[in-house]
Amino acid sequence: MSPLDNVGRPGGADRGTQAGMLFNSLEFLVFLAVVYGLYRVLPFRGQNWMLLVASYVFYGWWDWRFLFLMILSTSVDFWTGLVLDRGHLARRQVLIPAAFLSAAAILLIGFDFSALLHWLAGKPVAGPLISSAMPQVLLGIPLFAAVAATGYHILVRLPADRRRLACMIVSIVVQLSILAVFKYFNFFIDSLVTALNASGIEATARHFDIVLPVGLSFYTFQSMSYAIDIYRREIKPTDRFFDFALFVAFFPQLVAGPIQRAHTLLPQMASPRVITFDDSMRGLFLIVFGLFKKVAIADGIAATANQAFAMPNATWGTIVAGTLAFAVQIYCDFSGYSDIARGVAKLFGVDLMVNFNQPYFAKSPREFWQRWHISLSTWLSDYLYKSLGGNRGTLAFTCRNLMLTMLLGGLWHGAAWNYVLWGFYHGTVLCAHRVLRERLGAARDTVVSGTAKILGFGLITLYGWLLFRATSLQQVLSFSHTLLTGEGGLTINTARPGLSAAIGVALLAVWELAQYRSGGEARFYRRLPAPVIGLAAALMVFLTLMGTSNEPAQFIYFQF
Amino acid sequence: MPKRKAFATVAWTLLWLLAIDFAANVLFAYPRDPRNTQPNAVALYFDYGRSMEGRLRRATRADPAAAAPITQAGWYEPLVATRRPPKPDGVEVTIYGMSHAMRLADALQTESDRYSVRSVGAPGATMNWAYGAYLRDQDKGSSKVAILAVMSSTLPMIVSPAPMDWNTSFALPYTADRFVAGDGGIERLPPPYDSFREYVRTLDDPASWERANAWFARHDPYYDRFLVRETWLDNSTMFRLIRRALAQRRDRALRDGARDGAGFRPDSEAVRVANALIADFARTARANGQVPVIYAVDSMGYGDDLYRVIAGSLQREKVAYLSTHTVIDPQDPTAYLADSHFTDENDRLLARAMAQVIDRAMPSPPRAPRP
Repeated sequence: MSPLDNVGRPGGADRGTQAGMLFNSLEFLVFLAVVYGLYRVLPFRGQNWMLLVASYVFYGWWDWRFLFLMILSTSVDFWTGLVLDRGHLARRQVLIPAAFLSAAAILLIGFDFSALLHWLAGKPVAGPLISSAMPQVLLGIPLFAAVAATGYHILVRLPADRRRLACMIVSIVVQLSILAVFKYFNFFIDSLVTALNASGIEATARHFDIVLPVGLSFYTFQSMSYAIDIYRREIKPTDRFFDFALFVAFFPQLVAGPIQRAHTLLPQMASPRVITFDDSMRGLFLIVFGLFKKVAIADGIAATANQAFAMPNATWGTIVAGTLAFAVQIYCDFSGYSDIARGVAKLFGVDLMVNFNQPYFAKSPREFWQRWHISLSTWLSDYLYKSLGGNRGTLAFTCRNLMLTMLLGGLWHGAAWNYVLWGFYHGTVLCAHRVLRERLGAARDTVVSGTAKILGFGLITLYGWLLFRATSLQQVLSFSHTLLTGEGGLTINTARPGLSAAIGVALLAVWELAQYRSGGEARFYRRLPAPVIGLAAALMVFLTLMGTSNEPAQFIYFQF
Repeated sequence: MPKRKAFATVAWTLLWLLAIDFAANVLFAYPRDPRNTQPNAVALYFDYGRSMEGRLRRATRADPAAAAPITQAGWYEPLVATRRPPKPDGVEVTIYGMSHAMRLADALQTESDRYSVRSVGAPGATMNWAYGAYLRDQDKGSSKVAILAVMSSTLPMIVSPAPMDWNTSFALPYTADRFVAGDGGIERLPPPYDSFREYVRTLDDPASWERANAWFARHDPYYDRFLVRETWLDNSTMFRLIRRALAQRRDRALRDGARDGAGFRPDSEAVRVANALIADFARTARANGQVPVIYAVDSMGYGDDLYRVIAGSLQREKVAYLSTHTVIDPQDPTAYLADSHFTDENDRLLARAMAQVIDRAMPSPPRAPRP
């Protein structure tokens, strides 16, 4: 199953979607109110416990079975981090995660956990409480323990340098294996079969009914960075398993980022947090701003993009309108999610990293990636690009590294060739820019040249979104052909954006321009008089209420 | 931000919200005259979340000439049939259903030189309304063919006897029969009122209106008191937006109850009722000496979901049918108009296809004896 057909088909129809707790749902509002209320009355350790349980409930709302996967990933990285740094594990550091993992396996896989919850609540249960996987679970637990113990004894006997390297590799292999199985397995099999068939060898694909667990790419990358940072001696591992579990599972950023680094988030989990009035106000503003972007704009414009990309013979005007709509949709959807995540975290006194910084004001591809999905691009830069050698070599060497990074960045977004093509496209644009900058040098911008660069690079970004949103390579080819030939002219056949989106885009444009003119400072609005801030906030709330009448779509980045 | 300024900002936000709410009510006020059928699009947008009762009261007057035209449509009593000019040696066909079916009736009348078309319709009519209309149609005997329309996007609402309970976009006061599928066939529950006069009387009498609402609450899974009954909060634009959102959320949940990723759920009540109605219609029509035909309208984006859940009944009962997906691609937005109807060209295509379906289903005329 292509992820494009899966959970987060942008604004997609209601078919095949998983029912989760969206930030823009009534369920989340109630959930947040309860969690916040409890948080304010609990002591620090109680807060952590409660946040961990809340995060697991939040994640389990999608599918309880996948929670086991996260707990497995958490346990393995907790152990490898400690062995990597210290060369041994204390008894409680072994037993607590082991007991937790075993309990998770039995409850979440061995039982039908949803049915179990129904049964505990006294509701009628349709199927059996014990799942057919229980025997495998009961067999798997001692088997896993034996493999882990053997691995542990091998690792601790290694010299320190080799042990550190081996532990990091174990962490990366486990995390990437989870990703490979759940996200890329069918894609690789399909691609292999296609390649074999193309070379004259007959082969058929055997498909496995694998569902992509929501947020998998985000939390595996977050966990992986923990082990790599310890290996690089940039951080020390934590002794407390449940603090680490909360670092991995912290619900505001769990399913769609921003991807946090251990050195910023883990210390916030390990020591008491202070909630200031200023943070709370900023948090509330971010939530309002994020909901405005998501509900009023992204959901309101989704139909325009969806219909355009669903047409077999779209006109030039329809393709341009659909691609523009998608550019607005994906920005407002994803940055809106990030804003809400940061806002919610701030209510708990937790600072998450900024994930978007006015990306459509970028004047170059390099700047775009410093402004778009910052947590992923810095992750790829720190752990992939720099590990490959970065720019410490010839221009060709740098370009190779840029291309590899972007190809894998594209593949990170989904198991489909159009994502790889999108990565290749951006890799090519980055390399071309790099070469031009080497040859021509960096010119100083005037207002006119700066604006021209923003608009010019905007067109390049737009074509990238066409590659990203296309449903097949065939559509990429046919849409590109239409763009070049102008077939159909300016006729636009796709749906008009909703009223909330039409007004919302104008308001957002004014807001972003004001921010850009004030030097990009996100809190620029604080300098404005209270009635003006109040008017902007009121308009956002009103437009969000208007947007609630739009068909709500899953956040696009949930699928990644 | 200093606390003082923060509180001032919150206060200003609330004040602005009240001002925007008030301004939207004044600037985009919905016309008070029920005969005004062309309200401003923005006024209509902000009015969508008004309670159904509020909208019905605004649209209704005791004098039908003074009431909104929509309040006159779709009543069983009297049942209004539109008869198009007869054709020489023609065969009369009656189509029962929603506006898509009425457009097909017009197209069939134009495209066929054999069939003269009579139609009985209501805006947004579901299949239960159409079958209720068929059963009440006193003149049905004049038609050799009876065509019953069913549409995929309104299939889940087949269990509702009142469009006011499920159609949160338009205030439609007419009612429909409620059918309940059981082991022994279908049970028909007539609605508490089925004529404009009775409706006005019920709406004007608080006790009768309360009783009617209680009946709908008992028999209609779509009935929601919060969405139907009028309150003073109807006067707030923001509240109306919230109610609209809650209505859509409720509608989605109910639609999902009948349809999942694989299509309509065969075990849902809507699908069971649809199949039971097809079987009952086929037998009743044949008993009345008519050829039963089903017109299955595939809404955009629904694929052939509708056909897949009724195909079994169509084959079992040997009912002639036209499923639009066999003629028009339900995934192609250009096949449809913005208001969800098929384009005129596609309606003509469908009419020609329907004429062929009827040709095949009609008993062959007796052959002349060989000399």
